[in-house]
Amino acid sequence: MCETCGCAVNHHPHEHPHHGDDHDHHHDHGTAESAGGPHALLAMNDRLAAGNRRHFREHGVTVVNIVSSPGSGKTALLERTIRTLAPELRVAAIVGDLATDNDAARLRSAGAPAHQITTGSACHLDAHMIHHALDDIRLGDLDLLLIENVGNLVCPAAFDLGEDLFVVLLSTTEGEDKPLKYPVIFLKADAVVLNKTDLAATVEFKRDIAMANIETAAPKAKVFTTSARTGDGVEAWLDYLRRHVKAKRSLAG
Amino acid sequence: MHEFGIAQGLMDVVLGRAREAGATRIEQVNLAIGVLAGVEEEALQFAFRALGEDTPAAETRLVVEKIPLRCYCRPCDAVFECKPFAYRCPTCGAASAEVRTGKELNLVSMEVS
Repeated sequence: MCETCGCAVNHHPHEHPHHGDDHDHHHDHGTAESAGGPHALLAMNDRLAAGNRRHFREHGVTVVNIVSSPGSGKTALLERTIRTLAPELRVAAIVGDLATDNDAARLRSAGAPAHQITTGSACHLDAHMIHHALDDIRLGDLDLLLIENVGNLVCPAAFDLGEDLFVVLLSTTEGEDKPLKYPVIFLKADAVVLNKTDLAATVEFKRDIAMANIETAAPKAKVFTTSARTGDGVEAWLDYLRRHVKAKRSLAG
Repeated sequence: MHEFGIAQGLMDVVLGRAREAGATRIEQVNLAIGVLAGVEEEALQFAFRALGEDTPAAETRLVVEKIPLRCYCRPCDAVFECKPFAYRCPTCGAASAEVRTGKELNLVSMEVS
């Protein structure tokens, strides 16, 4: 039995009971009456995310939630990240896709244990899926956990997973105005990675406009420009991760 | 985005509460939804109606209060209302991403009979 969410089995489609509200039970039929107080509809996710965050903090593990549209290079960036960091840090990955474990296989080849979550039809990872993926991941043996979310710039914005860093990746081939089209997810970004710079000239990417749009939509984000394919610019991104790993380790003592 | 999932979660809560209250009809459900919650009211209304068929929620009025996005401006020590991707304080022009309201996705209250 899982103590956090009360699940009896490991991975399982089920509804959690909602509880914790005070109810006033006397009633006379025929007139409308109030039933129950306020209730946050994502309270279950937020509670599980807080539990995940507590586990991560106890073990001093830095957790990065990476989101983007499909095909902007999340897996390629993580492959390069893992290849470089695995010799110096203990890295693992969780990957979310609707189907296949292709991405987890790629990240394993890059040198990190990788756990694939296949969501079926779900358009995002949620805190509950991460909570159960942690059954397979020994946090005590880790410095850095990279979570590759389902390729989608809408839904993952609503579901806290318990991460330290929320990273939005976009690529030059998607056009300059992605940040303005998906403002909710960009506002949440701690960092924005502009990827596929090696293709920028080919697709006549207007870098100045894109950077201005990122600054407008993601005013608090640190911005990195990378080519996951050539490795150009990736070092600054890796340093950003190294700094966070070091800071979190020192907090955990 | 995933309004059907949200509507299903909401339906579970309100049907459970109606059952506990011994009610046969849910008259009204009041929600507060922030502009950053990523929930479209029309899609949510549709999903709630579809899921509520043949239940005590079949005729329920779903009333949504839209909560505007408000950010905090540090230099002015003031909260201002803004649109997504225009997070500048109208007084001093400083950019802010310190969201104070706009992320809500809450069941506020409900009435049953």
